[in-house]
Amino acid sequence: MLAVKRSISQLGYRFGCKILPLLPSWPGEVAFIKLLNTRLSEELHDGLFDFLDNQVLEVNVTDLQIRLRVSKRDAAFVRALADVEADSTISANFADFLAIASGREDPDTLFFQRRLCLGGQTEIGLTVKNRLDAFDRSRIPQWALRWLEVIAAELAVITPKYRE
Amino acid sequence: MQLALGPAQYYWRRNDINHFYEAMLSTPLDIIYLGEVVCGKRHELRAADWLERARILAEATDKQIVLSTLTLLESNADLNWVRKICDNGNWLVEANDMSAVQLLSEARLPFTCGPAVNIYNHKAVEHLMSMGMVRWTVPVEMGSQQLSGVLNACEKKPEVEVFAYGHMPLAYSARCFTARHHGLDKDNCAYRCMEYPHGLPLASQEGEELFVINGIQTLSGEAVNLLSHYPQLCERGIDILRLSPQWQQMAPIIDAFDRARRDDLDPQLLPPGVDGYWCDRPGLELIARSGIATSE
Amino acid sequence: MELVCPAGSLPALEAAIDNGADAVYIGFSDETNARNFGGLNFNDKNALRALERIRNRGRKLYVAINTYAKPDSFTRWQAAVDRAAGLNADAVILADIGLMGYAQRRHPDLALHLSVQASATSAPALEFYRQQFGIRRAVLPRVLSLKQVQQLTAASCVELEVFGFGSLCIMAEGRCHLSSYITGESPNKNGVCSPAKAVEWRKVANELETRLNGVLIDRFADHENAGYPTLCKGRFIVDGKRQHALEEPTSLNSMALLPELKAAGIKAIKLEGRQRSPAYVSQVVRTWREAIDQVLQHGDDFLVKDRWQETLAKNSEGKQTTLGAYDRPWQ
Repeated sequence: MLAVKRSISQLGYRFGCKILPLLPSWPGEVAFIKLLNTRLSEELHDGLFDFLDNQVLEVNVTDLQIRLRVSKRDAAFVRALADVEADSTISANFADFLAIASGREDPDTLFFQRRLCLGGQTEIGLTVKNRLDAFDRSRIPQWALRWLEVIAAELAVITPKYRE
Repeated sequence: MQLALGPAQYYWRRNDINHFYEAMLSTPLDIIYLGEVVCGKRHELRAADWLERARILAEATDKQIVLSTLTLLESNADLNWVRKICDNGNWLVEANDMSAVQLLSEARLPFTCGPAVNIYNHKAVEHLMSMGMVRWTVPVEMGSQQLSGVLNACEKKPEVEVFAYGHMPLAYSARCFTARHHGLDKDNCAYRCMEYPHGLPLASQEGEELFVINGIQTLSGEAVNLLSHYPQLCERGIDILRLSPQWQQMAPIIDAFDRARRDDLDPQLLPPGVDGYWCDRPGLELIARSGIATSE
Repeated sequence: MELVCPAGSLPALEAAIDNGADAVYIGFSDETNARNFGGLNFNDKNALRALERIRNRGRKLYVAINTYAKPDSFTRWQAAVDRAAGLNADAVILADIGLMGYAQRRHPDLALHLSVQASATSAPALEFYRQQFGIRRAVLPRVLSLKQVQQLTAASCVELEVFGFGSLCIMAEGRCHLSSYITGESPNKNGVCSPAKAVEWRKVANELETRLNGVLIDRFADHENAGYPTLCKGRFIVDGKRQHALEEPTSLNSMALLPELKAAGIKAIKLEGRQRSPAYVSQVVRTWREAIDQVLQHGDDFLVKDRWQETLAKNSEGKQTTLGAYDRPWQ
């Protein structure tokens, strides 16, 4: 059973690595930003993300070659224009992003190990990291959290830790 | 404006120390601080030797003699050294940490506070004055704006001394960096810091002079020089300028500051150094280039 | 022995409580605390939530207000003390004597702990803070050897807390201006060492360069681990040699000394890391909880388990963990 699950994840992961880089822009970006706006509405309302006003943050998922470009305008996250250079970049592979999101790994630990990289204005990247650490996980539906943990644990095994 | 010779930071040989201070007698300094402030292991001059040095100098001059205490105390031996200085019975003491403040105030003696005592606001100044502080040497990282803020808010002011020339003491550690550089640990340091009478320079990988290593202490890579700010220092009510002992060329430094107080200010007399801290900027910056700085 | 744990956010505080913290220390999100980083720490709303969770679980809450108040904004630091007192915090951790005087007069029942930033390393220094401000506990700077800690504990008039684990600050805390010399901002004045706005990471050829206000701190080859961009952990040129002239990126881990620290009478062990995530807090706090329980139950038979060592090593800055100044050869 375990072996079957693992080969399915491996297949999915390899498929993602092949297909996603071929797309002009990641179709999930709109959905992702929408999700951020719903989940972080309290923080947005409290002005906790105002530091992103008119700034472009790029989240770079290295192995899948996905670049999420996020900015903020009028109390909402928005997609950044394609031709604007990012003010700050956070890069890691998909497994490590999921490990952070699921609470498996500490971002500073990954940073020390060179698995998480910050570029551009460090302060923006650091503040984003701290704001996301402060996110109250009890506001994520239990089933979603469980899935996140399962996938993160799977990927942690099948993804090579270091860029070769 | 009075001119003070701060306590020596580096480890010099006994004879060199004695000659250095003898040479200071004929300079226009008003105040001389004496004593080991960096490392309790340095033994060319122990506490009793510094007291003896103070006695000899005091007999030869009417400059004010002040004894300085160690900054970072670790062992009981360090504490005993500080006790001996505080119990000297004759001279004013510069407290460089709260141990000395406590010992001096218990003995109901007046004292001065050195730049490594963390005094950043008027409440702290007032509290220490209530315990006997008569003079305050401002932390080296404090800018003129914050200093004015402190002084304006103080009901009663102590004498105020500013670190005006020399490499600034920036940090103290349990670790001896000079020993480490030579692959030695502190317990077996072989007193290697004596080989560096003006410290061991540390530069960035691009060759920028950043710091000076001096045993357990780290000093600024560039010397601070507030000569061109002399008019502003007077305006801000500073009473004393501290000039930090240099291995060589101390007399011309004293002379340049002495000229300033005789209305003959010439910033070109000394290398420019840095003045960032005083201008409320990063310490390594040089804001007033060569000319006389005007207050804002 | 009390286990005092860091929290930079509400989830981190919960992680600390869930994993066995006896006390959690937090700061307000401004320059009144020594981890004044963007997005970190507690606003009033979250501080209240923190208190509620602490009280529900019967733990203690300490508030660190451990920077030095500025004269023109002294009221901001006063307000921080008032807020902590208003929360009914179990103690405030202070470094500035101006602020201690205020706290003592205004809130005589509020317990004062002396922050490591005050750098008190001798019995008379501790006596100064006790006599003048009634401090009940002091956190010792990471500059003393084990023998010195033992001597000081014997002579001290107040409870002592020491660092157990975390990124290693090699300078006497509160007496280091390296950061302000290069960037203008320092722990004492601004609650930051190497402020993020001055930090730049850049990939140049095969190396990762890190700069602080333009000054090159280090270059890392691809296989090398990175550290926080602090000056004391950079690689510099001394006497023609490129080296970690001050310190390598390293974490302090004094777990092996727990029996001795307990025997010496140390009252509390502090874990560093308010800037770290809930994941770090969970793992490190759980490990230390198990270790302290082991010491309390088995005393002299205490041995550091491999599993604990692995968890701590994984969460360390730098590959190795050392005893730091507790161990004389390090000095």
